[in-house]
Amino acid sequence: MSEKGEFVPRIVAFLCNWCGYAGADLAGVSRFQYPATIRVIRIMCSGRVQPSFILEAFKDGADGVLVCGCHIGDCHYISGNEYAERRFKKTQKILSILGIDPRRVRLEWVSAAEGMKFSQVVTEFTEQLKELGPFEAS
Amino acid sequence: MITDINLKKRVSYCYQCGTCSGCCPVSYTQEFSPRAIIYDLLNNPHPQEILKKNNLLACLTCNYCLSRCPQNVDFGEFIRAARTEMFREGFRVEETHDCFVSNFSNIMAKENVIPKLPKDYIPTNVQLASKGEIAYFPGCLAVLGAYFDDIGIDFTQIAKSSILILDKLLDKPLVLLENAKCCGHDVLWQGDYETFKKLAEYNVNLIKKAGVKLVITSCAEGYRTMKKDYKELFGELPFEVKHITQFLAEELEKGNLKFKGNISKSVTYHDPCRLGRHMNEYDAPRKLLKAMEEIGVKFHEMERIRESALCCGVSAFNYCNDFTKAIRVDRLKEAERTADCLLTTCSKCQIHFNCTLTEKKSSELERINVEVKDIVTIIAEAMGLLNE
Repeated sequence: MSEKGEFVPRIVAFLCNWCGYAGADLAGVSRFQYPATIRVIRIMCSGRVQPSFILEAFKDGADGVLVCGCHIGDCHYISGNEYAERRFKKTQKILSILGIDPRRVRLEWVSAAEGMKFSQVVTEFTEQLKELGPFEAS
Repeated sequence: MITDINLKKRVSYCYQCGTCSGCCPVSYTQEFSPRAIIYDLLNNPHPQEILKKNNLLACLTCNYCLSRCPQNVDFGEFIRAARTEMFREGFRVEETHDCFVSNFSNIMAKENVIPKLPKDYIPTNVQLASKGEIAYFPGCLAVLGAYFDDIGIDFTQIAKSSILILDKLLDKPLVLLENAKCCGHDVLWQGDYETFKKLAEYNVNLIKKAGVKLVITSCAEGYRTMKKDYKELFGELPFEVKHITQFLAEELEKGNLKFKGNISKSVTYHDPCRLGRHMNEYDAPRKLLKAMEEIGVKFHEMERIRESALCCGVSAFNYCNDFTKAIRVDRLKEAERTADCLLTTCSKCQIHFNCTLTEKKSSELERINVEVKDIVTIIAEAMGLLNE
Protein backbone atom coordinates (compact mmCIF):
# COMPACT_ATOMS: atom_id res chain seq x y z
CA MET A 1 0.00 0.00 0.00
CA SER A 2 1.25 3.48 -0.81
CA GLU A 3 0.95 6.53 1.44
CA LYS A 4 -2.42 7.45 -0.01
CA GLY A 5 -3.79 4.01 0.80
CA GLU A 6 -3.82 3.09 -2.86
CA PHE A 7 -3.10 -0.55 -3.68
CA VAL A 8 0.40 -1.14 -5.04
CA PRO A 9 0.81 -4.67 -6.37
CA ARG A 10 3.79 -6.80 -5.50
CA ILE A 11 5.21 -8.47 -8.59
CA VAL A 12 7.86 -11.17 -8.56
CA ALA A 13 9.78 -10.96 -11.85
CA PHE A 14 11.86 -13.89 -13.07
CA LEU A 15 14.26 -12.39 -15.62
CA CYS A 16 16.59 -14.45 -17.75
CA ASN A 17 20.22 -13.49 -17.53
CA TRP A 18 20.72 -12.93 -21.26
CA CYS A 19 17.66 -11.02 -22.42
CA GLY A 20 15.11 -10.10 -19.73
CA TYR A 21 17.66 -8.96 -17.18
CA ALA A 22 19.72 -7.10 -19.76
CA GLY A 23 16.51 -5.49 -21.04
CA ALA A 24 15.65 -4.35 -17.53
CA ASP A 25 19.19 -3.04 -17.19
CA LEU A 26 18.84 -1.10 -20.41
CA ALA A 27 15.54 0.34 -19.22
CA GLY A 28 17.37 1.58 -16.13
CA VAL A 29 20.36 3.00 -18.01
CA SER A 30 18.09 4.71 -20.56
CA ARG A 31 15.97 6.13 -17.71
CA PHE A 32 12.69 4.72 -18.96
CA GLN A 33 10.14 5.18 -16.21
CA TYR A 34 8.12 2.29 -14.84
CA PRO A 35 6.40 1.65 -11.49
CA ALA A 36 8.60 0.25 -8.73
CA THR A 37 6.40 -2.80 -8.25
CA ILE A 38 8.73 -5.56 -9.35
CA ARG A 39 11.07 -7.69 -7.26
CA VAL A 40 13.61 -9.13 -9.66
CA ILE A 41 14.96 -12.66 -9.44
CA ARG A 42 17.67 -13.29 -12.00
CA ILE A 43 17.77 -16.75 -13.48
CA MET A 44 20.06 -18.16 -16.13
CA CYS A 45 17.21 -19.14 -18.47
CA SER A 46 13.45 -18.68 -18.46
CA GLY A 47 13.25 -22.45 -18.97
CA ARG A 48 14.22 -22.86 -15.33
CA VAL A 49 10.92 -21.40 -14.13
CA GLN A 50 8.91 -24.35 -12.89
CA PRO A 51 5.20 -24.06 -12.04
CA SER A 52 6.29 -24.52 -8.46
CA PHE A 53 8.31 -21.26 -8.46
CA ILE A 54 5.29 -19.27 -9.49
CA LEU A 55 3.10 -21.02 -6.92
CA GLU A 56 5.67 -20.32 -4.23
CA ALA A 57 5.64 -16.63 -5.10
CA PHE A 58 1.86 -16.56 -4.63
CA LYS A 59 2.18 -18.56 -1.44
CA ASP A 60 4.54 -15.99 0.00
CA GLY A 61 2.31 -13.02 -0.79
CA ALA A 62 2.96 -11.92 -4.38
CA ASP A 63 0.05 -10.37 -6.30
CA GLY A 64 1.45 -11.24 -9.70
CA VAL A 65 4.36 -13.03 -11.36
CA LEU A 66 6.20 -11.87 -14.46
CA VAL A 67 8.53 -14.12 -16.45
CA CYS A 68 10.78 -12.60 -19.09
CA GLY A 69 12.94 -14.55 -21.52
CA CYS A 70 14.57 -14.26 -24.93
CA HIS A 71 12.47 -14.21 -28.09
CA ILE A 72 11.71 -17.66 -29.54
CA GLY A 73 14.73 -18.68 -31.60
CA ASP A 74 17.05 -16.33 -29.73
CA CYS A 75 17.50 -18.39 -26.55
CA HIS A 76 21.06 -18.47 -25.31
CA TYR A 77 20.55 -22.18 -24.64
CA ILE A 78 18.81 -22.77 -27.99
CA SER A 79 15.42 -24.02 -26.76
CA GLY A 80 15.08 -23.02 -23.09
CA ASN A 81 12.32 -20.52 -23.79
CA GLU A 82 10.27 -23.18 -25.56
CA TYR A 83 10.30 -25.15 -22.31
CA ALA A 84 9.38 -21.94 -20.52
CA GLU A 85 6.36 -21.47 -22.75
CA ARG A 86 5.18 -25.05 -22.19
CA ARG A 87 5.62 -24.80 -18.43
CA PHE A 88 3.93 -21.43 -18.38
CA LYS A 89 0.82 -22.84 -20.05
CA LYS A 90 0.80 -25.64 -17.50
CA THR A 91 1.05 -23.09 -14.70
CA GLN A 92 -1.87 -21.08 -16.05
CA LYS A 93 -3.96 -24.24 -16.16
CA ILE A 94 -3.06 -25.11 -12.57
CA LEU A 95 -3.84 -21.57 -11.42
CA SER A 96 -7.26 -21.62 -13.04
CA ILE A 97 -8.02 -24.97 -11.35
CA LEU A 98 -7.01 -23.43 -8.03
CA GLY A 99 -9.40 -20.57 -8.70
CA ILE A 100 -6.67 -17.95 -9.18
CA ASP A 101 -7.07 -15.58 -12.15
CA PRO A 102 -4.51 -16.66 -14.81
CA ARG A 103 -4.08 -12.97 -15.71
CA ARG A 104 -1.99 -12.67 -12.54
CA VAL A 105 0.88 -14.33 -14.35
CA ARG A 106 2.52 -13.06 -17.51
CA LEU A 107 5.17 -14.38 -19.87
CA GLU A 108 6.93 -11.86 -22.09
CA TRP A 109 9.80 -12.07 -24.52
CA VAL A 110 12.08 -9.08 -23.93
CA SER A 111 15.41 -8.93 -25.71
CA ALA A 112 18.48 -7.15 -24.36
CA ALA A 113 17.79 -4.23 -26.73
CA GLU A 114 14.17 -3.75 -25.69
CA GLY A 115 14.44 -1.55 -22.62
CA MET A 116 11.40 0.41 -23.75
CA LYS A 117 9.34 -2.76 -24.07
CA PHE A 118 10.37 -3.84 -20.58
CA SER A 119 9.15 -0.62 -19.02
CA GLN A 120 5.90 -0.89 -20.99
CA VAL A 121 5.34 -4.49 -19.89
CA VAL A 122 5.83 -3.63 -16.23
CA THR A 123 3.56 -0.59 -16.49
CA GLU A 124 0.81 -2.53 -18.22
CA PHE A 125 1.07 -5.48 -15.87
CA THR A 126 0.96 -3.20 -12.82
CA GLU A 127 -2.19 -1.54 -14.17
CA GLN A 128 -3.80 -4.92 -14.76
CA LEU A 129 -2.98 -6.13 -11.25
CA LYS A 130 -4.39 -2.91 -9.80
CA GLU A 131 -7.63 -3.79 -11.55
CA LEU A 132 -7.58 -7.35 -10.21
CA GLY A 133 -6.80 -6.18 -6.68
CA PRO A 134 -4.66 -7.83 -4.03
CA PHE A 135 -4.36 -11.63 -4.24
CA GLU A 136 -4.93 -12.35 -0.55
CA ALA A 137 -8.14 -10.34 -0.39
CA SER A 138 -9.67 -11.41 -3.70
CA MET B 1 10.28 -31.62 21.71
CA ILE B 2 11.18 -34.98 20.32
CA THR B 3 11.45 -36.33 23.86
CA ASP B 4 7.67 -36.02 23.97
CA ILE B 5 6.40 -39.04 25.88
CA ASN B 6 3.85 -39.89 23.21
CA LEU B 7 6.46 -40.08 20.57
CA LYS B 8 8.61 -42.36 22.65
CA LYS B 9 5.73 -44.48 23.79
CA ARG B 10 5.02 -45.59 20.26
CA VAL B 11 8.42 -47.14 19.95
CA SER B 12 9.31 -48.10 23.51
CA TYR B 13 7.95 -51.63 23.08
CA CYS B 14 10.67 -52.42 20.55
CA TYR B 15 12.91 -55.30 21.68
CA GLN B 16 15.45 -54.90 18.89
CA CYS B 17 14.78 -58.09 16.97
CA GLY B 18 15.58 -56.38 13.68
CA THR B 19 12.67 -57.83 11.71
CA CYS B 20 11.79 -54.32 10.53
CA SER B 21 15.22 -53.65 9.10
CA GLY B 22 15.23 -57.08 7.49
CA CYS B 23 12.00 -56.56 5.61
CA CYS B 24 12.16 -52.81 4.94
CA PRO B 25 12.11 -52.11 1.17
CA VAL B 26 14.29 -49.03 1.68
CA SER B 27 17.02 -51.06 3.35
CA TYR B 28 17.39 -53.22 0.21
CA THR B 29 18.83 -50.30 -1.68
CA GLN B 30 20.35 -47.95 0.86
CA GLU B 31 21.63 -47.70 4.38
CA PHE B 32 18.52 -47.40 6.49
CA SER B 33 17.48 -49.29 9.59
CA PRO B 34 14.29 -48.66 11.56
CA ARG B 35 15.69 -50.75 14.41
CA ALA B 36 18.83 -48.62 14.69
CA ILE B 37 16.78 -45.42 14.64
CA ILE B 38 14.64 -46.68 17.51
CA TYR B 39 17.71 -47.88 19.43
CA ASP B 40 19.35 -44.47 19.09
CA LEU B 41 16.21 -42.67 20.10
CA LEU B 42 15.73 -44.72 23.24
CA ASN B 43 19.36 -44.70 24.33
CA ASN B 44 20.80 -41.40 23.20
CA PRO B 45 20.73 -38.73 25.91
CA HIS B 46 20.28 -36.07 23.19
CA PRO B 47 17.49 -37.43 21.00
CA GLN B 48 17.36 -34.15 19.08
CA GLU B 49 20.60 -35.07 17.37
CA ILE B 50 19.24 -38.34 16.07
CA LEU B 51 16.84 -36.53 13.84
CA LYS B 52 19.75 -34.90 12.14
CA LYS B 53 21.93 -37.99 12.07
CA ASN B 54 19.50 -40.62 10.96
CA ASN B 55 17.84 -40.15 7.69
CA LEU B 56 14.21 -40.13 8.72
CA LEU B 57 13.37 -38.80 5.29
CA ALA B 58 14.12 -42.09 3.63
CA CYS B 59 11.21 -43.89 5.32
CA LEU B 60 8.36 -44.59 2.92
CA THR B 61 5.90 -44.94 5.81
CA CYS B 62 4.59 -47.98 3.93
CA ASN B 63 3.97 -49.88 7.21
CA TYR B 64 5.66 -53.04 5.93
CA CYS B 65 7.59 -53.17 9.21
CA LEU B 66 4.37 -52.82 11.20
CA SER B 67 2.84 -55.80 9.42
CA ARG B 68 5.83 -57.92 10.48
CA CYS B 69 6.63 -56.43 13.90
CA PRO B 70 6.04 -58.89 16.77
CA GLN B 71 5.61 -55.97 19.19
CA ASN B 72 3.29 -53.94 16.94
CA VAL B 73 5.52 -50.87 16.91
CA ASP B 74 3.96 -48.37 14.54
CA PHE B 75 7.13 -47.01 12.98
CA GLY B 76 5.24 -45.10 10.27
CA GLU B 77 3.25 -43.11 12.82
CA PHE B 78 6.44 -42.46 14.73
CA ILE B 79 8.09 -41.09 11.59
CA ARG B 80 5.10 -38.86 10.97
CA ALA B 81 5.19 -37.53 14.52
CA ALA B 82 8.94 -37.00 14.28
CA ARG B 83 8.61 -35.15 10.96
CA THR B 84 5.96 -32.88 12.48
CA GLU B 85 8.37 -32.05 15.32
CA MET B 86 11.16 -31.47 12.83
CA PHE B 87 8.98 -29.23 10.68
CA ARG B 88 8.26 -26.96 13.64
CA GLU B 89 11.99 -26.55 14.10
CA GLY B 90 12.42 -25.46 10.52
CA PHE B 91 13.46 -28.75 8.97
CA ARG B 92 12.03 -29.65 5.55
CA VAL B 93 11.82 -32.95 3.71
CA GLU B 94 13.54 -33.43 0.37
CA GLU B 95 10.63 -32.90 -1.93
CA THR B 96 10.79 -33.54 -5.65
CA HIS B 97 9.36 -31.40 -8.47
CA ASP B 98 10.70 -28.23 -6.80
CA CYS B 99 8.27 -28.63 -3.89
CA PHE B 100 5.26 -28.49 -6.18
CA VAL B 101 2.96 -30.48 -3.92
CA SER B 102 3.64 -28.54 -0.74
CA ASN B 103 3.35 -25.25 -2.65
CA PHE B 104 0.00 -25.98 -4.19
CA SER B 105 -1.30 -27.42 -0.90
CA ASN B 106 -0.21 -24.26 0.88
CA ILE B 107 -1.98 -22.08 -1.68
CA MET B 108 -5.07 -24.25 -1.48
CA ALA B 109 -5.06 -23.85 2.30
CA LYS B 110 -5.52 -20.07 1.92
CA GLU B 111 -9.05 -19.01 2.73
CA ASN B 112 -9.62 -17.00 -0.43
CA VAL B 113 -8.56 -19.80 -2.77
CA ILE B 114 -11.45 -22.04 -3.80
CA PRO B 115 -10.47 -24.66 -6.37
CA LYS B 116 -12.89 -25.92 -8.96
CA LEU B 117 -12.88 -29.17 -10.87
CA PRO B 118 -12.51 -28.38 -14.62
CA LYS B 119 -15.29 -29.35 -17.00
CA ASP B 120 -13.31 -32.05 -18.78
CA TYR B 121 -13.27 -34.05 -15.53
CA ILE B 122 -17.05 -34.22 -15.41
CA PRO B 123 -18.98 -36.44 -17.85
CA THR B 124 -21.61 -34.50 -19.76
CA ASN B 125 -24.44 -37.05 -19.70
CA VAL B 126 -24.74 -37.25 -15.91
CA GLN B 127 -27.05 -35.36 -13.63
CA LEU B 128 -25.30 -34.12 -10.51
CA ALA B 129 -26.67 -32.54 -7.38
CA SER B 130 -25.21 -30.05 -4.93
CA LYS B 131 -26.90 -31.61 -1.90
CA GLY B 132 -27.63 -35.23 -1.13
CA GLU B 133 -26.52 -38.28 0.77
CA ILE B 134 -23.72 -39.77 -1.29
CA ALA B 135 -20.83 -37.71 -2.63
CA TYR B 136 -17.73 -38.23 -4.72
CA PHE B 137 -14.56 -36.53 -3.51
CA PRO B 138 -12.07 -35.83 -6.32
CA GLY B 139 -9.51 -34.04 -4.10
CA CYS B 140 -6.45 -32.76 -5.89
CA LEU B 141 -6.89 -35.00 -8.95
CA ALA B 142 -7.23 -32.08 -11.38
CA VAL B 143 -4.13 -30.27 -10.12
CA LEU B 144 -2.06 -33.43 -10.39
CA GLY B 145 -3.59 -34.02 -13.81
CA ALA B 146 -2.54 -30.57 -15.01
CA TYR B 147 0.99 -30.94 -13.69
CA PHE B 148 1.68 -34.55 -14.70
CA ASP B 149 0.29 -34.22 -18.21
CA ASP B 150 3.33 -35.65 -19.95
CA ILE B 151 3.73 -39.10 -18.41
CA GLY B 152 0.81 -40.84 -20.05
CA ILE B 153 -1.87 -40.90 -17.37
CA ASP B 154 -5.34 -39.67 -18.21
CA PHE B 155 -6.55 -38.22 -14.93
CA THR B 156 -9.80 -37.04 -16.46
CA GLN B 157 -10.62 -40.68 -17.11
CA ILE B 158 -10.29 -41.56 -13.39
CA ALA B 159 -12.75 -38.88 -12.30
CA LYS B 160 -15.10 -39.55 -15.22
CA SER B 161 -15.14 -43.32 -14.67
CA SER B 162 -15.81 -42.93 -10.94
CA ILE B 163 -18.66 -40.49 -11.53
CA LEU B 164 -20.20 -42.65 -14.29
CA ILE B 165 -20.04 -45.83 -12.20
CA LEU B 166 -21.54 -44.20 -9.13
CA ASP B 167 -24.22 -42.50 -11.19
CA LYS B 168 -25.21 -45.83 -12.70
CA LEU B 169 -25.50 -47.54 -9.33
CA LEU B 170 -27.27 -44.83 -7.34
CA ASP B 171 -30.94 -44.09 -7.73
CA LYS B 172 -30.52 -40.47 -6.59
CA PRO B 173 -28.20 -37.94 -8.28
CA LEU B 174 -24.62 -38.07 -7.04
CA VAL B 175 -23.14 -35.09 -5.21
CA LEU B 176 -19.88 -33.97 -6.75
CA LEU B 177 -17.67 -32.06 -4.31
CA GLU B 178 -16.16 -30.02 -7.13
CA ASN B 179 -14.85 -27.30 -4.82
CA ALA B 180 -13.05 -29.79 -2.59
CA LYS B 181 -9.47 -29.04 -1.68
CA CYS B 182 -6.65 -31.55 -1.44
CA CYS B 183 -7.21 -33.91 1.49
CA GLY B 184 -3.84 -32.84 2.92
CA HIS B 185 -2.21 -36.27 2.91
CA ASP B 186 1.10 -35.15 1.47
CA VAL B 187 1.61 -32.11 3.67
CA LEU B 188 0.69 -34.21 6.69
CA TRP B 189 3.36 -36.80 5.94
CA GLN B 190 5.86 -34.08 5.17
CA GLY B 191 5.30 -32.78 8.68
CA ASP B 192 3.27 -29.63 7.89
CA TYR B 193 0.47 -30.19 10.37
CA GLU B 194 -0.87 -26.61 10.30
CA THR B 195 -1.56 -26.66 6.56
CA PHE B 196 -3.12 -30.09 6.88
CA LYS B 197 -5.44 -28.76 9.56
CA LYS B 198 -6.62 -25.87 7.39
CA LEU B 199 -7.33 -28.17 4.44
CA ALA B 200 -9.12 -30.67 6.66
CA GLU B 201 -11.32 -27.99 8.25
CA TYR B 202 -12.34 -26.67 4.85
CA ASN B 203 -13.16 -30.11 3.48
CA VAL B 204 -15.13 -31.22 6.52
CA ASN B 205 -17.18 -28.00 6.43
CA LEU B 206 -17.80 -28.44 2.72
CA ILE B 207 -19.03 -32.00 3.23
CA LYS B 208 -21.18 -31.01 6.22
CA LYS B 209 -22.74 -28.15 4.23
CA ALA B 210 -23.72 -30.51 1.43
CA GLY B 211 -25.45 -32.73 3.98
CA VAL B 212 -23.55 -35.77 2.81
CA LYS B 213 -23.72 -39.04 4.76
CA LEU B 214 -21.29 -41.08 2.69
CA VAL B 215 -18.17 -39.75 0.97
CA ILE B 216 -16.65 -41.93 -1.74
CA THR B 217 -13.11 -41.38 -2.92
CA SER B 218 -11.21 -43.04 -5.73
CA CYS B 219 -7.84 -42.32 -4.13
CA ALA B 220 -6.30 -44.58 -1.49
CA GLU B 221 -4.51 -41.70 0.19
CA GLY B 222 -7.64 -39.59 0.36
CA TYR B 223 -9.49 -42.52 1.89
CA ARG B 224 -6.92 -43.07 4.60
CA THR B 225 -6.62 -39.37 5.42
CA MET B 226 -10.34 -38.68 5.63
CA LYS B 227 -11.15 -41.88 7.48
CA LYS B 228 -8.28 -41.94 9.96
CA ASP B 229 -6.58 -38.56 10.22
CA TYR B 230 -9.69 -36.37 10.01
CA LYS B 231 -11.20 -38.50 12.75
CA GLU B 232 -8.08 -38.03 14.84
CA LEU B 233 -8.34 -34.28 14.36
CA PHE B 234 -12.08 -33.68 14.81
CA GLY B 235 -13.33 -36.74 16.70
CA GLU B 236 -16.36 -38.55 15.30
CA LEU B 237 -17.42 -37.16 11.94
CA PRO B 238 -21.05 -36.88 10.82
CA PHE B 239 -20.29 -38.76 7.61
CA GLU B 240 -18.78 -42.05 6.57
CA VAL B 241 -15.87 -42.44 4.16
CA LYS B 242 -15.50 -45.31 1.73
CA HIS B 243 -13.07 -46.16 -0.98
CA ILE B 244 -14.78 -46.70 -4.30
CA THR B 245 -13.67 -50.35 -4.48
CA GLN B 246 -15.28 -51.04 -1.09
CA PHE B 247 -18.52 -49.46 -2.21
CA LEU B 248 -18.48 -51.42 -5.48
CA ALA B 249 -17.64 -54.72 -3.75
CA GLU B 250 -20.71 -54.24 -1.55
CA GLU B 251 -22.87 -53.50 -4.58
CA LEU B 252 -21.43 -56.57 -6.26
CA GLU B 253 -22.52 -58.76 -3.36
CA LYS B 254 -25.99 -57.22 -3.53
CA GLY B 255 -26.04 -58.15 -7.20
CA ASN B 256 -26.35 -54.59 -8.52
CA LEU B 257 -23.06 -54.54 -10.38
CA LYS B 258 -23.30 -56.10 -13.84
CA PHE B 259 -20.42 -56.50 -16.24
CA LYS B 260 -20.93 -56.86 -19.95
CA GLY B 261 -18.95 -56.98 -23.16
CA ASN B 262 -15.62 -58.65 -23.54
CA ILE B 263 -12.28 -57.44 -22.22
CA SER B 264 -9.54 -59.93 -22.86
CA LYS B 265 -6.73 -58.46 -20.85
CA SER B 266 -4.38 -60.01 -18.36
CA VAL B 267 -4.20 -57.84 -15.28
CA THR B 268 -2.55 -57.79 -11.89
CA TYR B 269 -3.20 -55.71 -8.83
CA HIS B 270 -0.77 -53.60 -6.82
CA ASP B 271 -1.82 -52.97 -3.21
CA PRO B 272 -1.22 -49.30 -2.40
CA CYS B 273 0.15 -49.05 1.14
CA ARG B 274 -2.48 -46.49 2.11
CA LEU B 275 -5.34 -48.82 1.25
CA GLY B 276 -3.70 -52.13 2.09
CA ARG B 277 -1.47 -52.09 5.11
CA HIS B 278 -2.76 -48.76 6.49
CA MET B 279 -6.48 -49.54 6.19
CA ASN B 280 -6.49 -53.34 5.90
CA GLU B 281 -8.47 -53.40 2.69
CA TYR B 282 -7.12 -56.15 0.48
CA ASP B 283 -10.23 -58.02 -0.57
CA ALA B 284 -12.54 -55.43 -2.14
CA PRO B 285 -10.48 -54.77 -5.30
CA ARG B 286 -9.73 -58.49 -5.66
CA LYS B 287 -13.41 -59.38 -5.44
CA LEU B 288 -14.12 -56.96 -8.27
CA LEU B 289 -11.33 -58.31 -10.43
CA LYS B 290 -12.41 -61.93 -9.81
CA ALA B 291 -15.96 -60.98 -10.80
CA MET B 292 -14.65 -59.49 -14.02
CA GLU B 293 -13.09 -62.81 -14.99
CA GLU B 294 -16.41 -63.88 -16.46
CA ILE B 295 -16.13 -61.22 -19.16
CA GLY B 296 -12.64 -62.34 -20.13
CA VAL B 297 -10.35 -60.41 -17.78
CA LYS B 298 -7.52 -62.65 -16.65
CA PHE B 299 -6.49 -61.76 -13.12
CA HIS B 300 -3.10 -62.98 -11.92
CA GLU B 301 -1.49 -62.27 -8.58
CA MET B 302 2.08 -61.04 -8.27
CA GLU B 303 4.54 -62.74 -5.93
CA ARG B 304 4.46 -60.08 -3.22
CA ILE B 305 0.87 -59.23 -2.40
CA ARG B 306 -1.40 -58.17 0.43
CA GLU B 307 0.60 -57.50 3.64
CA SER B 308 3.83 -58.27 1.81
CA ALA B 309 3.18 -56.01 -1.18
CA LEU B 310 6.11 -53.87 -2.24
CA CYS B 311 5.58 -50.13 -1.97
CA CYS B 312 5.82 -47.99 -5.12
CA GLY B 313 8.82 -46.33 -3.55
CA VAL B 314 7.81 -42.70 -2.93
CA SER B 315 5.38 -41.28 -0.44
CA ALA B 316 4.33 -37.64 -0.18
CA PHE B 317 6.70 -36.83 -3.09
CA ASN B 318 9.55 -37.10 -0.65
CA TYR B 319 12.97 -38.50 -1.35
CA CYS B 320 12.68 -39.64 -4.97
CA ASN B 321 16.12 -40.73 -6.11
CA ASP B 322 17.99 -43.61 -7.74
CA PHE B 323 17.62 -45.78 -4.64
CA THR B 324 13.86 -45.52 -4.50
CA LYS B 325 13.69 -45.82 -8.29
CA ALA B 326 15.22 -49.27 -7.89
CA ILE B 327 12.18 -50.25 -5.79
CA ARG B 328 9.83 -49.08 -8.53
CA VAL B 329 11.73 -50.90 -11.25
CA ASP B 330 11.66 -54.04 -9.11
CA ARG B 331 7.89 -53.78 -8.70
CA LEU B 332 7.28 -53.00 -12.38
CA LYS B 333 9.39 -55.96 -13.49
CA GLU B 334 7.43 -58.18 -11.16
CA ALA B 335 4.23 -56.90 -12.78
CA GLU B 336 5.70 -57.42 -16.25
CA ARG B 337 6.39 -61.08 -15.41
CA THR B 338 2.80 -61.51 -14.21
CA ALA B 339 0.52 -59.62 -16.59
CA ASP B 340 0.19 -56.94 -19.28
CA CYS B 341 -1.57 -54.39 -17.14
CA LEU B 342 -0.86 -53.28 -13.58
CA LEU B 343 -3.95 -51.99 -11.81
CA THR B 344 -3.91 -49.90 -8.69
CA THR B 345 -6.25 -47.61 -6.79
CA CYS B 346 -3.87 -44.87 -5.78
CA SER B 347 -3.27 -41.96 -8.16
CA LYS B 348 0.14 -41.28 -6.62
CA CYS B 349 1.29 -44.87 -7.22
CA GLN B 350 0.30 -44.38 -10.85
CA ILE B 351 2.27 -41.15 -11.10
CA HIS B 352 5.40 -42.73 -9.68
CA PHE B 353 5.14 -45.89 -11.78
CA ASN B 354 4.37 -44.02 -14.99
CA CYS B 355 7.17 -41.57 -14.34
CA THR B 356 9.62 -44.47 -14.16
CA LEU B 357 8.12 -46.13 -17.24
CA THR B 358 8.40 -42.90 -19.25
CA GLU B 359 12.00 -42.53 -18.24
CA LYS B 360 12.87 -46.09 -19.26
CA LYS B 361 10.92 -45.91 -22.51
CA SER B 362 13.74 -44.50 -24.59
CA SER B 363 16.14 -47.35 -23.93
CA GLU B 364 15.68 -50.71 -25.65
CA LEU B 365 17.36 -52.61 -22.81
CA GLU B 366 15.66 -50.93 -19.90
CA ARG B 367 12.16 -50.77 -21.31
CA ILE B 368 9.46 -52.38 -19.15
CA ASN B 369 6.43 -53.56 -21.06
CA VAL B 370 3.60 -53.04 -18.66
CA GLU B 371 0.73 -50.62 -18.58
CA VAL B 372 -0.30 -48.92 -15.35
CA LYS B 373 -3.96 -48.07 -14.94
CA ASP B 374 -6.50 -47.15 -12.34
CA ILE B 375 -8.88 -49.92 -11.38
CA VAL B 376 -11.95 -47.67 -11.83
CA THR B 377 -11.21 -47.13 -15.52
CA ILE B 378 -11.30 -50.87 -16.23
CA ILE B 379 -14.46 -51.29 -14.14
CA ALA B 380 -16.16 -48.48 -16.08
CA GLU B 381 -15.05 -50.16 -19.30
CA ALA B 382 -16.40 -53.53 -18.10
CA MET B 383 -19.72 -51.91 -17.25
CA GLY B 384 -19.86 -50.49 -20.77
CA LEU B 385 -19.95 -46.89 -19.57
CA LEU B 386 -16.99 -45.38 -21.35
CA ASN B 387 -18.13 -46.21 -24.88
CA GLU B 388 -21.58 -44.76 -24.57
